Amino acid sequence: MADFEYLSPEGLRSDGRRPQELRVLSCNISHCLQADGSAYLQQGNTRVIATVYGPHDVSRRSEAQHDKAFINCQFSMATFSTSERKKRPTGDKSCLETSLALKKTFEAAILTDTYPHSKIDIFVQILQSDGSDKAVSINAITMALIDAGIPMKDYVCATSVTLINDTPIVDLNYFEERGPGPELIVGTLPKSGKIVFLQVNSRLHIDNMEKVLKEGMNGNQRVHTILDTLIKKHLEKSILT
Amino acid sequence: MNRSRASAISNCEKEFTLEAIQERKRLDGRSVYDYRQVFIKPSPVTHGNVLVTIGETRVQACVGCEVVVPRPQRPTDGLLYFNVLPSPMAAPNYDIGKSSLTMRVERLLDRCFKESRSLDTESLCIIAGQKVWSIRVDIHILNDSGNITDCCVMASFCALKHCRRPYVTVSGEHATIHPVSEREPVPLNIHHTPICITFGFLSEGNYLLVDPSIEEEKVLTGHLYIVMNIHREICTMQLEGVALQHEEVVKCTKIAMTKVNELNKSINKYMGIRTNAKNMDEDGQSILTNVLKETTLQIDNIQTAANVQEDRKNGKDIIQEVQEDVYEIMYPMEEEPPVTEEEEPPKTKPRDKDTDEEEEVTVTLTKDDITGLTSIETGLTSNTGEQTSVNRNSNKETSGTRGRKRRKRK
Amino acid sequence: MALKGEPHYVAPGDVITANLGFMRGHGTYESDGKLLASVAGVVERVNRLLCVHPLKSKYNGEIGDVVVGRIIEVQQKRWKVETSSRLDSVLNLSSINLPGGVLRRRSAEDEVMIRDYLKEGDLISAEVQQVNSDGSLSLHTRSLKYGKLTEGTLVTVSPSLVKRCKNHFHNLLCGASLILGNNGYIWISPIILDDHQQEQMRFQLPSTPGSSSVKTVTHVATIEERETIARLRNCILALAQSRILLYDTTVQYAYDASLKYEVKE
Repeated sequence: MADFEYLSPEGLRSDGRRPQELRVLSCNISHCLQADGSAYLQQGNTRVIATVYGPHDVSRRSEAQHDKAFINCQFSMATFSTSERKKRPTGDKSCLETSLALKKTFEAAILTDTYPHSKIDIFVQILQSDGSDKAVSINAITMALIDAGIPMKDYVCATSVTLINDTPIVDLNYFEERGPGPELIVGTLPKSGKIVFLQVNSRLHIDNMEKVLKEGMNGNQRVHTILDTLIKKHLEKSILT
Repeated sequence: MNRSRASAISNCEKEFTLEAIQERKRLDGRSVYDYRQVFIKPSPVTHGNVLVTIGETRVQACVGCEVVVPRPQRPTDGLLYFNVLPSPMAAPNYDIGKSSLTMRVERLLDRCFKESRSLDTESLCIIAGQKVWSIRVDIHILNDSGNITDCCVMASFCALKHCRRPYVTVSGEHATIHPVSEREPVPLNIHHTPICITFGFLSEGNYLLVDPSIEEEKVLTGHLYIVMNIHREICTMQLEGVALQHEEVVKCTKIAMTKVNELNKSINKYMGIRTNAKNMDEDGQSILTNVLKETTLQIDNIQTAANVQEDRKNGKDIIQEVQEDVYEIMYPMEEEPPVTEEEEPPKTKPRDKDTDEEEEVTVTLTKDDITGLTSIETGLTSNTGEQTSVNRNSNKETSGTRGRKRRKRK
Repeated sequence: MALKGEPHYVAPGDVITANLGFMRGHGTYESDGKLLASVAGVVERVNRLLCVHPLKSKYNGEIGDVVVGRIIEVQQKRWKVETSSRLDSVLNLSSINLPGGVLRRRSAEDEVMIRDYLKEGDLISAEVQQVNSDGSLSLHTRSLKYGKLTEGTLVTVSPSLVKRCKNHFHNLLCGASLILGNNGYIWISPIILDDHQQEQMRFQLPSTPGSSSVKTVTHVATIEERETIARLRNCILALAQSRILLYDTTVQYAYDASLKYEVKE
């Protein structure tokens, strides 16, 4: 992999995209009839399924909060999602960490004070992993929450960014994610531009921080435009007659 | 009763803390960006055993190494594990076993040291595909008085820095691990110093503070953890539970940078590492390892004391000066006697008989820890007012005696 | 602002209006002096009140709503009822009609026998008596039309599909009766008998407490009735699928339209 070319001299990436270009994003809303809200989201070859149950009564007394809803989030990766079969789809430490981070993110985005004493369950699973798993999960959960009619401040859109030869590259695939550059995953509320999810892995120099962050946020704006169009279409299609 | 209830905060306390911070005042007299006093005590007896305190928060990290078979996917990489152990006596709401806290901290440590390649795992390889060193860092949380994350990261780093693994010679397929008495053990290869700075956010991100104390943590809405090294690189970063504008994030990284420099200085001071300006500018290879390798470098008490003097002159007052008596306890590591040797400076072992019983875990019975114990029992007493060094001392004094009494009763 | 007749679609974070003369209703929130949507749906305006109703959501109870629910827990003096609301609803022992007439006093024995009236898994129809401060619903069945449901079939649809009407109990011409619960639970049963017989049927309790109880006169539905019920069920599901509001007329029309199709295995 040493001589793998992440950015060709023409400025194209390994899969032919331009540095700031997103992969094709498609989404199937309300695919799961049992759940209160669900979404299947595909970004390039990364496929994610998200379901939302609730708000419903808490299952344990200790979960009840008098002033806001309790959010439960479970992130998992299907055993067949990666090139090597995973042995433990849920128990893995980094999965638990992601669950916790997603929970905190959506706690900041959902208007939890509308639902005291209740619980909202969010389940998200990576069906096929090709980079940007966390970012795609966030986008999928957003769609599922909107489908469930749970009040949120705004969409939560996320993308991952890296830096190759001082060029920020948006929406990473597997090879770019494993590449030598740092990885920054940023989730924003696109209308207000507020950051609700931020994770940096590997070393990112402080002087590049602003550049990479900006590019990630621009990516989020584009994700938002796509998601918004999808939601509006879905609304028009399924409005009461 | 339910233990988690005990950690809840009443409405008036909450409002008080909030209002104080809105006036940019903090309960312990610090200003918003101030860090509490940091104190690092490497064990004079065992390598890789370090106690780190930030204010009253107390964490002890111990490093252990063993030879194992590497993972088949990465035959030349050594292993590095972090194991965070919250002691139930550290805070009323701690449970034994894995919780979201330990999981979060462990993953943060993974990202700090492994994913940002701070510890060179490839140098831990003995024979590719057959034998590698597995380094395990046990992080005991002894007292949680806020900002446990920073303390854990600092303790892990210092412990890894302080750790020595046995010397190994390889001839063909045969590796010999030399006992400590035979060959001088070698330090681990550390590339850079990841230092974590925790930012707390209040009321939807309108107010920000550095190094939150336990009272402040109860009213915080969100956290931002920034781990940086002195080369101005962000090793890892994590935002939790709050919505921020991107300018605020950038501002935080800048504040973090200055804090990292300050903390790095105090780590060097306590760990007995002398840095000079020339080395500071070097990129890539860590200056610290270089300095450590110079085994001829002898720093004695007088010299380090001179460093302290220098810092004073420079006006670095955020990390408070070490008190003279504390400093005597310090034992520069270059002069450390080998593990087998029993001789120790007298001040460090008022209770070493007790500690011998439980090997590495010098946790339970040292004088400092009893302070921790009693301060939980006595609730807020030790946290009121300004935390001057005098105050601290007297506190230690009283609670120490209290602790002794308790033990007698037992 | 939404033009009359043309639906105004919004998604979370969209600005509905910057004019603060409006009151904020469900599905909206205020930020920086603007009224924003918090759910995806169509803006609805009633005088100065602005709301956004999402396509799907949990049932939001209002006083006077007719609901169909399932008993999930029996407690000392009350039942917990599942009504697809966001919190479990409550039916107090004091809010039901006890056998032996409206004027009968409640006694300690009633508390002992609470399980004989309604037990876990029973379906009931009830009315929302009160919305509690935490958002949970208190129900009552103090009318002869409410109470335990025995013979029939339950269809579950999204609560937003059920139109709020004056009457939610319908005896359809096709020979079945329909309870359109506001919470999206729809009960289809053979034609409900007249009031007198009903009273006899409901909560028939043993004269001496403690002995085994026979609760209802068992009425065995004929094969024709069953066919009608099954057809109605499918009609309702078809309507729900194509997102058409459910009320007696639509259901009746759907039924009529379905008659040209034969019953098949």
